[in-house]
Amino acid sequence: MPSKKKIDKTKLRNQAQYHLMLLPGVIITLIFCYIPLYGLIIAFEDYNPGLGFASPWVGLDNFKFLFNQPNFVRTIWNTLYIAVFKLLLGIIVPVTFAVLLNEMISNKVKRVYQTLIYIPNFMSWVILAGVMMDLLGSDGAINVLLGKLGIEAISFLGNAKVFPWTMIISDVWKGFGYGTIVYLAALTGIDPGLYESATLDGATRWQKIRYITVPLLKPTIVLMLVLALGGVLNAGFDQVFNLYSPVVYSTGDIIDTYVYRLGIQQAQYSIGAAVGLFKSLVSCILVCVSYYMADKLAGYKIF
Amino acid sequence: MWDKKVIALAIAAVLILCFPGFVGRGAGAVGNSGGGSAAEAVPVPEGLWDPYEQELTLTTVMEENSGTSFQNGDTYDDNPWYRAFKDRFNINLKNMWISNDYGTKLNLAIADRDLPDFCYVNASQLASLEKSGLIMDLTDLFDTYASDTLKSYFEIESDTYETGCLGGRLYGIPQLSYGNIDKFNYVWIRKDWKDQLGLADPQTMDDVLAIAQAFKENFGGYAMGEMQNLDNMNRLAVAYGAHPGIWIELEDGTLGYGTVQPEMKEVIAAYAEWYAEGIINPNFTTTNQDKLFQDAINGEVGVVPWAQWFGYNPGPQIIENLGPEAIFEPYPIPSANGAEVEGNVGFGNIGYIVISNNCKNPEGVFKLINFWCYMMDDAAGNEDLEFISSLYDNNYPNCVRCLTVINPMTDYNQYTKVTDALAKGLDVDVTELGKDASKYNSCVAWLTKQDPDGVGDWLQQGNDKSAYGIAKEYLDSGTYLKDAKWGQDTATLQSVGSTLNDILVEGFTQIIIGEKDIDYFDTLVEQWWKAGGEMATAEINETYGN
Repeated sequence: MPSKKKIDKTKLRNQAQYHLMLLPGVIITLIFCYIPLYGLIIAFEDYNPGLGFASPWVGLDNFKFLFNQPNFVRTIWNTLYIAVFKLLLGIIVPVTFAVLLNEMISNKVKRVYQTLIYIPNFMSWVILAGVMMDLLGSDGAINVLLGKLGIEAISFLGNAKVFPWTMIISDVWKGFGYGTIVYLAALTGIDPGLYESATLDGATRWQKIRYITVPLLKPTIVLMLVLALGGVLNAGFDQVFNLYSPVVYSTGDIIDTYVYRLGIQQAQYSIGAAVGLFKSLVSCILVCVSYYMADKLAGYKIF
Repeated sequence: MWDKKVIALAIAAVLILCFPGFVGRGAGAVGNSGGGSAAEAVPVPEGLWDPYEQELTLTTVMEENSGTSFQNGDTYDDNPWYRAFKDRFNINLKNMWISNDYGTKLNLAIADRDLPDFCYVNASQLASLEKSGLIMDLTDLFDTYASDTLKSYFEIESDTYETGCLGGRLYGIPQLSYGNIDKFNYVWIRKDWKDQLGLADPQTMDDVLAIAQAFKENFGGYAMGEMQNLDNMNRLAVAYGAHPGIWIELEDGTLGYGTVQPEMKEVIAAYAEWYAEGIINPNFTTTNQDKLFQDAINGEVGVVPWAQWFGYNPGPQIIENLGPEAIFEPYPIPSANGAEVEGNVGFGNIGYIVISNNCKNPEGVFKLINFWCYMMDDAAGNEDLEFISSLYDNNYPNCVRCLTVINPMTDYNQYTKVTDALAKGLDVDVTELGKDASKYNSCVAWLTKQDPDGVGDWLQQGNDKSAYGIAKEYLDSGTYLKDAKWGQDTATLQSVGSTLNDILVEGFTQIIIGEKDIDYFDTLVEQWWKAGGEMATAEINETYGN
């Protein structure tokens, strides 16, 4: 259709400068995100750094090797368990907090809280792990406190039943400040007129939260959920790695820590790449599924 | 008037130009690769010890070591060793890079095919480099250019020389180690506590436990130090005739892994009992080396099974925090069942020196290695003492790790020399001692001024009760067991070694803390066997068996 082509040309000319401005970003993405994809072939090779990408081709052997390892399947389960609960609490806690903070009248107090809960987010797990080991040890502050209350000491880091929850709760504690700020930002976007008219209709505070705040927060929650689902197979390497020990491998060993011991410590690049590829595939599927679900359930679409 | 479009275009253009990739900086970096290998060959001087007439530049790479205390503006790039090379051979040694993550950085350099003229690598890097044809066959070069001293090392340890050969040809010169004398383990016991309670030296394992218990009752804390990787249990296992961590010859003549043998079951059973009785650190499952050292420094523990270097780290910090009387002294690990204790001697080779295919003057590398050996073994009496100590003080040998090949008798000979001199007095003439003078001097500094920096040397080799004194007895009487796997891991161990280890450490821990019965040991051995242990054992027998 010649007429349409003509329109496209004018459109293109009109938008030329935008395309030009996009160019650096596109090039950077190409260089750092797309070209390295070529390196994925080492997942199918017996990689030897000296031979580079010309290493011998072994097909799916690396994947077979991985799934034949006695404890690998267990690490997938551990990863999902820790990650899913982190995900759920990572939404519930900040949403609750944001709503509560939003109800607060004094802006000053609100800001102080916001800052306080945001601070742990900036600390690295390497540092926090040291702090937590001292806090959670058998003679650490928390167990001393529990002792005063007549509760027997809990081995937060040395008991396989407790360990995953130590990971989940401490991660939520560290990260919920960030989520809270995102949700608070979404809350300020809600039209105050809605609350005013609800007040006129005699709605209680609880009813306003239930029928105005939460429904209007839903798109943001869904967005955060979709974004987070892509990383569900990352249950937090730096956190777990700095806090785990052989005694909690049965519940605390996640894919990344397992592969670290198996592959990176002994420079088995192919195995590492195979795991990376496996995780990316699963994440990709999860993101697609969650996006579809978000559209179906909440009518939410990004594109 | 400026058109909006023009402004937008200008901004876009600036943005693109600011992107460094487009101004050619990236291209420049690529052009530099290949290190110093582009240089032309320099004529080789006639004699083994003659200098080059024309300056020869060799490149290497360097591992950063925090123990080096550089003096007077010295650096890794300019230090007494490098100046001596220039002085003696007219060789200019250059570092292509210095890194505190040497292994990773070197792997990247190998992947980039950007090797220096020579460097040291580990066993798997050696194999990978040989396979990819990046390094030289050194067999003939070694015969021609290695000094007699260097060759003599490999007469003592011909089995280690073999580990540097691939397909019968020498590709990596094994750097050896300070010898079997530094491989043994000890029970380190805090001196002031032991003196205060008037306790005798431990003769049996029960004595060790009694000492540990007495410390706990009188001074608090916990009785015996252990970590999440169970290293200390493995150290004590020789008391029960078990040899975890090394491959040993079994009764039927085949080779087996020490950690899965029945003797180990006994060790774990005893250990579980000790844990239940509160002898072992109750928090061991979450304790790592740093934490354990911290506990020793804070006076939380007085008995720690450890290797010969406990006096160096955390030794000085213990003195700083608790005073010079609080040092830990080494004792031989006593028998638990009356039988003679055989110490473990693992395969210890620091690394392999390889020479890049692109190196134009490989004989220059041998000259440097020869010089290192000469300084280590033959310099005493031939060289000015001040010159010798300028090379050895402040841990300066760290600067030349890339060409260090160690006389396997170094520490053994050093120990005898230092103790003999100390027995003569604290003010003997140190000229005869050569490089060992600095060890003697720091022992004297400890004895006379309680200098914390001297305590490590004193506890390692100051007298016959020191770590090396105990180790020498094992060596002289032959009561030790060498790892039958004298060389690198076989294929299965390389790929699943960590999994195999995980199975055992995790399971042993569960038995020790009482989650599992001691008979779970047999289940673990079975799991280990299935997960690759069987294949590994077969391979080890094939490669290292008789």
